Parts: sequence; structure tokens; C-alpha cells
Amino acid sequence: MLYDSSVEIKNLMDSLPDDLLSRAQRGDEEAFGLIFAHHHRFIYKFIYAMVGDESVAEELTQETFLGAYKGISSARGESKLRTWLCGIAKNTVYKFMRSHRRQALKTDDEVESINVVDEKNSLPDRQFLNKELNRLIQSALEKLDDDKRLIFTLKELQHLSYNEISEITGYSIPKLKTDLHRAKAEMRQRLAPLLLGGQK
Amino acid sequence: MNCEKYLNLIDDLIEGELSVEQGAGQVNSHLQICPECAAYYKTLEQEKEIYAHYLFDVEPPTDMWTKFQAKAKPEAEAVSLQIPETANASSGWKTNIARFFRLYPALGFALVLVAAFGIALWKFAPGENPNGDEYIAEKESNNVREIAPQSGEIKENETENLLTKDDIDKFVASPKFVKSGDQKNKFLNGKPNGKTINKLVAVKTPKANEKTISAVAVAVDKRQKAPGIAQPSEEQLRQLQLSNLEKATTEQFEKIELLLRSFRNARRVEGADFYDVGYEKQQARKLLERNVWLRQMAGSYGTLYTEEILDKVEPFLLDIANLENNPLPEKIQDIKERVRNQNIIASLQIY
Repeated sequence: MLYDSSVEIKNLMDSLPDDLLSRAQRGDEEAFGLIFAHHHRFIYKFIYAMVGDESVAEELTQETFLGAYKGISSARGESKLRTWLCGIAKNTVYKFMRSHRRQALKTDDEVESINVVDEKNSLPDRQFLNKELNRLIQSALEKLDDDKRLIFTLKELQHLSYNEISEITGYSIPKLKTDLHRAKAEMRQRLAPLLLGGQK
Repeated sequence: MNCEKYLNLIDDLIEGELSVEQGAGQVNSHLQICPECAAYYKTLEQEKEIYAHYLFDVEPPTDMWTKFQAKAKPEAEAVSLQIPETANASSGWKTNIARFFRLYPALGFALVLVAAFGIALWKFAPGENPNGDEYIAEKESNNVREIAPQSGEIKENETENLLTKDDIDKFVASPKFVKSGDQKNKFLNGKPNGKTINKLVAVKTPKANEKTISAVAVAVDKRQKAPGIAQPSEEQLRQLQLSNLEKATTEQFEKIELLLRSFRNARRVEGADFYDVGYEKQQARKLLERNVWLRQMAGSYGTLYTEEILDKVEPFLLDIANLENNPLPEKIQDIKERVRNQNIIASLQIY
């Protein structure tokens, strides 16, 4: 069973001092700084997976935390902090995507034509493969529609529970399961040549 | 075999969303006897392994907090009040407002705009201030009327007298100050919207014989100061450092766990008698350096358990980092065995 540690890791990441949120709500700058320190990496990665661009991810992460900073009084409960921040990040990303619709995407043919094994070298460099792999995953992710990409990112890449994702997106759990299943199938189809190659 | 009903459950199982009560045991038993479903499960498992690498090296820039501080501009919270200078202040509020507009047209216009938006917001989102940072109220004679939970163009050079906190306290404590209980309490505590009033400014109408003072209380939001500028106490500093250490350790363990899983799944090079672990070696070198530093930090902060786990994983990082270019299967197997026997991955999970 893979990545069964995600829950423990998440819990650990969430283990902030008990009164941190209430301190931040009272205007304690240090407390907000701690919230930022604990959560910005997770939020940045989430946004990066959604937009696939480092500088945009940085900008939107800043926007997310500015929104959180201004609206900290509406946050409810330490345990929900990550979900709350993710909700703000999701809205920020959707707003960005609405105003900057993604550019023309690569065609499936292009994905399939990428040769991840250097023909001249019988021993492909693993780092190169990983880089290529990430590029292809990103390309496949971009082809998912916004909602499927959101659900796939939160579940497959960031290991949130269905309950948490439901809270962030407002979707029912059956819908999440269906969309995730479809998203995985689409990803599988697009990455098939690569996945098969990787299983040698 | 009726595999149809198991497909969704296999999805749930792989996502860690299927408890024993929900049938995890049953699905596992089915996987033992059904090669098709076992193959499907294996595919999902391999996909997860691949996706796990996607965000592995994605890291935010290190100066994000500094940039954030620069962006979080100061925002003032303003509370405008009018307090009676004498007990017999009696001029009508309409007259006063008309005078105010005549004397301060720009400010008056701004207040009207603010009021319009504010009232709308107040009506549709009771108790909720979208900005969460500004608040304006107006008092005329004996009645206080909230204008808006919004910003106002109140400038210091448009004010004349400074009021003390006592002035405001006296005012809001008086029975003349008519507000809802909650809001009144916030004013009584000197914390409209939960923030501290630390500066009160009065705007005096020019006709002093009107015996009325319009007062503007500017409650400066403590958060407007750039976060981090305030000098933290020694204990706060220690807590912050500990928290950063904990965060860094968590990231380190997350990466080590992925590395060990990747190493565990390393495959023999096709047609050769050695393994391709070049990527793992490189990762181990990177993690090793950080591990030594974190272990020393954990030691100096007295976080013994963290230090112990960091100490426990270090030999494995060292061994993987020091593997020769084309390591023999025995060497790989030896490390794999030790990882398994010492339950390293489980230790990282339990932490």
C-alpha cells in the first residue's frame, strides 16, 4: 500500500500551537507568520499543480495569503485552517483561470512522440526521466477540465480526504469519486505510453 | 467472478478511504483470488508512485514571506463618532450633516459613497466585514448610527483635537450610546471589530457655539504593521524557531520516505547485473547534508525524539549516497533488508 503515510504527515503539518488562529485573529503578527510558514508550501504546490507555472504559482500564493490575512476573522477552527486556506487558493486560481484562459494545449500526438529514452544511450538518466515525466504529467493535467484537475490535484497529488475536498469544493463525495475516477482514467490514457515504458 | 462491485471499492481502498467496516478486508481477499482486479490495483499503485514524484521537487521561493510582508500594506480601521460637548447639545442631525457637507465636501462625498456601499454590505452580510479591517460609525446628539463597515477618507490634517481614550470610553459607556449589545461591548472594550483603539482624533465643527463636536476615532489595526517588524520575545522567538525546525523536519521525512520507497522499487537494468539508482544516490546526497544539520538543530533544541529519528535514517542516506555507480544486487538487497528490518518507513510515518 503506497503513501499511507500521507494522513500522518498531514496531521503533523497541521500541528500548530492550539491558540494560533485566535492569536492571528487578534492581530498577532507572529501568529500569522507561523500560519504562513506552516501552510505556504502546501498551498504553493497545490497552485503550481493547478496552473503549472512557478511564477504564477508564487503570485497566486501571495494573493491567497493576502486574502487570508484580510479575512482571518472568518476562519473557523485550527483544524480547518488548511481547508480554509485551500478554499481561498481554489477561488484565487479559478479567478485567475477565468481571466487568463489557458493557451492552446499540446496535442496528444505530441505527448506520445516524446521519447523518454535516449536512443544513443542504453542507460537513460533517471533524473532526466523524472524531469520528462513531470513535464508529461503537467501536460496531461492541463488537459483535464478545471474541476477534474482540482479534484485530481487535491486527492492524488496532495492526499486530502474526500471530506476535506468536499469542504473545499462544495461537491458531494459521490461526485468527487466519479470525477476522480474519470480524471484518473483520462490521465492514464494520456500517459499510457509513458506508464508502459516506465514499467519495463 | 463479479468484479463490477469491487471496482469502486478498489478505488476507495487505494485512496485510503475504505475502512475494515466498509469492506477493506473483503476487497483484500478478493484481490488475492482475482488476477484482473489485482492487476488493476497494481496499476493504480504504480500510478500513485509516479504521481508522487510530480510535486517532489516543487518548492516555493525562499523569499515568499518577505514579499508577502511588503504586499500586506497598512490598513487603518476608522471609527467616526460624534460626541456631545455639553449635555444640552440639541441641534438636529440633519442640520449638522448639511453643515458637514458644506464645510468638508470631499470628505462628505466620500462618506456618502462609503455609506451606500457599507449599508448594502451590512444588510446582505450581517456580522461579516469582508475586509475585516475598517469600521465607521456616526453619532449625532444622543443617537449613534452606524454608517458602514467600510473605509472612509479621514485624514489627520482634517482633524483638530485629539481625544483621549477616556473620552471615548465615557461616551460609549453612557446610556446615550445606543448600539446593539455586541457592538457596544466591543466599543466598551475599546476594540471595535476586535481591534484596539489606540488613536482618537476629533473633528470640531467650526461653529463652537453649536456645542457639538464631531469626533473621529481611528482605531489602528495592529495587523497593519508589517508582520515580523514587531520584536518578538525570547520565548516567541524560540517557539518560532522550533516551529520552523518542525516544519523542516517534516519536509525532510516526507522526502526521505519517498526516496526509500523509490529505492525499494529500484529495478535491475535490463540485461545487466546491476541496478540503476543514480537518481536515488543524488537525492540521498542532498538529503544527507540537510539531515546532519537538522539533527544538530534538534539536539540543540532538546527535541530528542526528532533527533533520534533523524539519527536513525542517516546511515541509510549515507549508504545510498555512497553506492558505487553500478551497484551489485547484493548491496541493494542489503540496504532494502535493513530498511525493512528496522521499520524505517514506519518510524517516519509514526513521527
